[in-house]
Amino acid sequence: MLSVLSYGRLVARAVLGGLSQTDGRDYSLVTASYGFGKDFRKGVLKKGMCYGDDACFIARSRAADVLGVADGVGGWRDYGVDPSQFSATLMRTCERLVKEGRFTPSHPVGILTSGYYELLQNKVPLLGDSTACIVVLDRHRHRLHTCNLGDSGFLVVRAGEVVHRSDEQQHYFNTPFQLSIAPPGVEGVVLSDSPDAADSASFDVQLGDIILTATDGLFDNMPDYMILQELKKLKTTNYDSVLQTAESIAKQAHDLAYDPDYMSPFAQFACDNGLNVRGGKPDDITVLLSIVAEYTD
Amino acid sequence: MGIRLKALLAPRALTSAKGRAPACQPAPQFPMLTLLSMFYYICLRRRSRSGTRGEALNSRRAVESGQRTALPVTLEVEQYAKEVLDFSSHYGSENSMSYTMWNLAGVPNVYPSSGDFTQTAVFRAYGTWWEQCASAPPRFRRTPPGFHSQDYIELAFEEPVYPTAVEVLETYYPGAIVQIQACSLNPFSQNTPTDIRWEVLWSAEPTKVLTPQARQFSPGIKQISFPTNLLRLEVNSSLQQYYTELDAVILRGVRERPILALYKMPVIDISDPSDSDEELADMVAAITSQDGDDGKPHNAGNGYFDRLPYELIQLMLSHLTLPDLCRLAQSCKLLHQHCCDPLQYTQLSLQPYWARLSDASLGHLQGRCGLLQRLNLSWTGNRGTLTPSGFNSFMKACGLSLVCLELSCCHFLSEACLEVVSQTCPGLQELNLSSCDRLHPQAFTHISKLSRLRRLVLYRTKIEQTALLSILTFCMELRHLNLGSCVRKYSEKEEEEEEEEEEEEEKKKKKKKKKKKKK
Repeated sequence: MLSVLSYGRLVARAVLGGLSQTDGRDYSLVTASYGFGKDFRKGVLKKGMCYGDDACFIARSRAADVLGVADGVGGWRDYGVDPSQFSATLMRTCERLVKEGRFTPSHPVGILTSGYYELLQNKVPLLGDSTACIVVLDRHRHRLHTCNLGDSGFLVVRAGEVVHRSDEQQHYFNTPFQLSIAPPGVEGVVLSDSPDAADSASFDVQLGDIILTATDGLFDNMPDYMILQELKKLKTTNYDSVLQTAESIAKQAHDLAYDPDYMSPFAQFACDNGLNVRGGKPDDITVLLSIVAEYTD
Repeated sequence: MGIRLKALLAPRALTSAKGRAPACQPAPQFPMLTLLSMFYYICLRRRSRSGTRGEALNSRRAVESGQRTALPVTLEVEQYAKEVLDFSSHYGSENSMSYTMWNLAGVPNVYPSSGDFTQTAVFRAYGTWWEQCASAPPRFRRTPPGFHSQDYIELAFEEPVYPTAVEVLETYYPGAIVQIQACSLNPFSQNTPTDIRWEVLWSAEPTKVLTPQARQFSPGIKQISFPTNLLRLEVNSSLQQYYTELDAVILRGVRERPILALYKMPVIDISDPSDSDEELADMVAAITSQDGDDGKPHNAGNGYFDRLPYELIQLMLSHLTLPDLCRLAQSCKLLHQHCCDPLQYTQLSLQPYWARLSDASLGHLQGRCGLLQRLNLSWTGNRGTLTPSGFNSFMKACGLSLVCLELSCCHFLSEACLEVVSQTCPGLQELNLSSCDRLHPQAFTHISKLSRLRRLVLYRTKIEQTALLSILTFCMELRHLNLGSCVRKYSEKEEEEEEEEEEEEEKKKKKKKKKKKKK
């Protein structure tokens, strides 16, 4: 009796598995970006898709849609280095790599590694630090491949619930994993992580899944339930509604960041680490909101 | 009727070419006009007879069509390069996109900004240091004065057109381009080419531009008689103060062959050595015909040349370029004897003539190259003009005293060729295989048999560790070794293979653990 049931289950699984693979439609990501730089230049597009020290890119190749965010570490300003340059160039380079097809969709760490390698080729050394998070949708196989180095990250929301999220990678409090190029001589002293230290994850996606990729400016100021509340308002897959939702999320995070009494997730984490802190965390906020839709040219 | 009258009265009316009698004039009150027009008609008829028939017909067609409908507007097609097919060197590394030649394809990334950007195409060297440094090889004798090229890049465009303009967007230290050539072959077509022609569209001496700022370089190009979608830029950076950087190349042309009226006849370049291989082919006929006259003594008829010592004539001939030498060999028996003397061919550079070199040419030169010491075949033989068998037979005939062999960018080379080189050139001291990136890694193991090797250049080749170790072991006199850009390109397949290997190793470990547990 039991063997018949288990056999039947196996057969059913095989049949269903076979059926799901015959779904030949390609998926794509409808993506909108919004953000704020820390110095009140509200969403001013400096060099395109840069918000303060954060940078992001949205690119499409022959087989995949790729998003990326990078958060430049601000501490370099004290040493005369512009931290936005590193993150912006890293994202521009990754975008170029994607457009030229020099990557494997199932291996997003490769994009990060090649992009970092290209930065090292610069004759004038490009100094700075940055976290990075890259999300790749394989259009035909309906699979999302991600990699994350540092405290930026992504959320995948399906039917109002978070089904996947990235983990923050930190060495110690407020010191995330970061890619860096340091001036010669101080290479041993400066914190520098290899792109191989990035966390990778892959999972299937369905039509209507919402993917929110953002820097820590968002996640440190808005807890999940607030983000989910805003995302409930996104019902269609056209670009304008996605942009509107991204804008509202970013604005809300921006408002909360400057609220001195609000118990933000950052303040919560600080208290857990023994620091008596309240209020939001003023930081550059970058939000890339995407929804999985059918592929149209 | 009215049309024909108009045509008669128009200055270029050549309807008379068909020999029709003029129609009777309907205006008797203008006898002078009648006389003048008749006089004019007779003159034109004479002129049309002396001119070319084709020209007359074409202009007539143009005039007639001009009166009925507007001339068909030939649309100019503007294209950016689709693909970079071949190049001799670049600054960037093989695994990168920065400063590599592949940036020259597609739309410009940087122009009109000036400066040093990673998204541009940059050649490996600039300035004169590379030629003046102590380890630089000496120049080959008989280099034609018009040959300045140090590097090249070949670009393919989408559609073959008759070029009307070529624009190069240079973004830093411009002015290095010295020649632009067009090829009759379509690199994207599947048909095997029968006859590959390279035509020089523009050529000049290297110049030094005053400012390093970006510019759009658009020289006046020659009209050619075939459509092309394969261009070659040759570059000389010796006068530059820094790396010259190129961003994009635009090819403008028309799809249909321009009508004769717009067709500028190409200037015949007397100094252009365009027929060297024909001369070499003629040589065979000359040799065979003159061989029969061996019995007669060589005297008189050569004027003062008979009084000059042999060595003096040899010295005079040593200043000639190779095509001139071949042409001179056809002038008389004495000079033929001098020109075929192997002592004239101790150094042979065929790089300036890469476009016209073929197996037949090599075969004709074979007989004279018994004392060959330095041979330069760089850039030759691509797209099937030289075959490994032709090269092998040449090496077998001429390799014995060879000391220096330059085979840069020779894509016709195969493993068998390197094997023949290692067998026939026991005394070889210098070998240059830069940019021979189609050679299989196995081929390099044959180099270790060249025990007298002193200088080895393997820039941008696919040599691997085993071959390199054997070369280092057996070439005891090696002094200069260039392994620039010898990197392993990681491909998807290799990554998958590595993952499979790792999985197998893990499985083996698990099995061992299980065995241990069982025990």
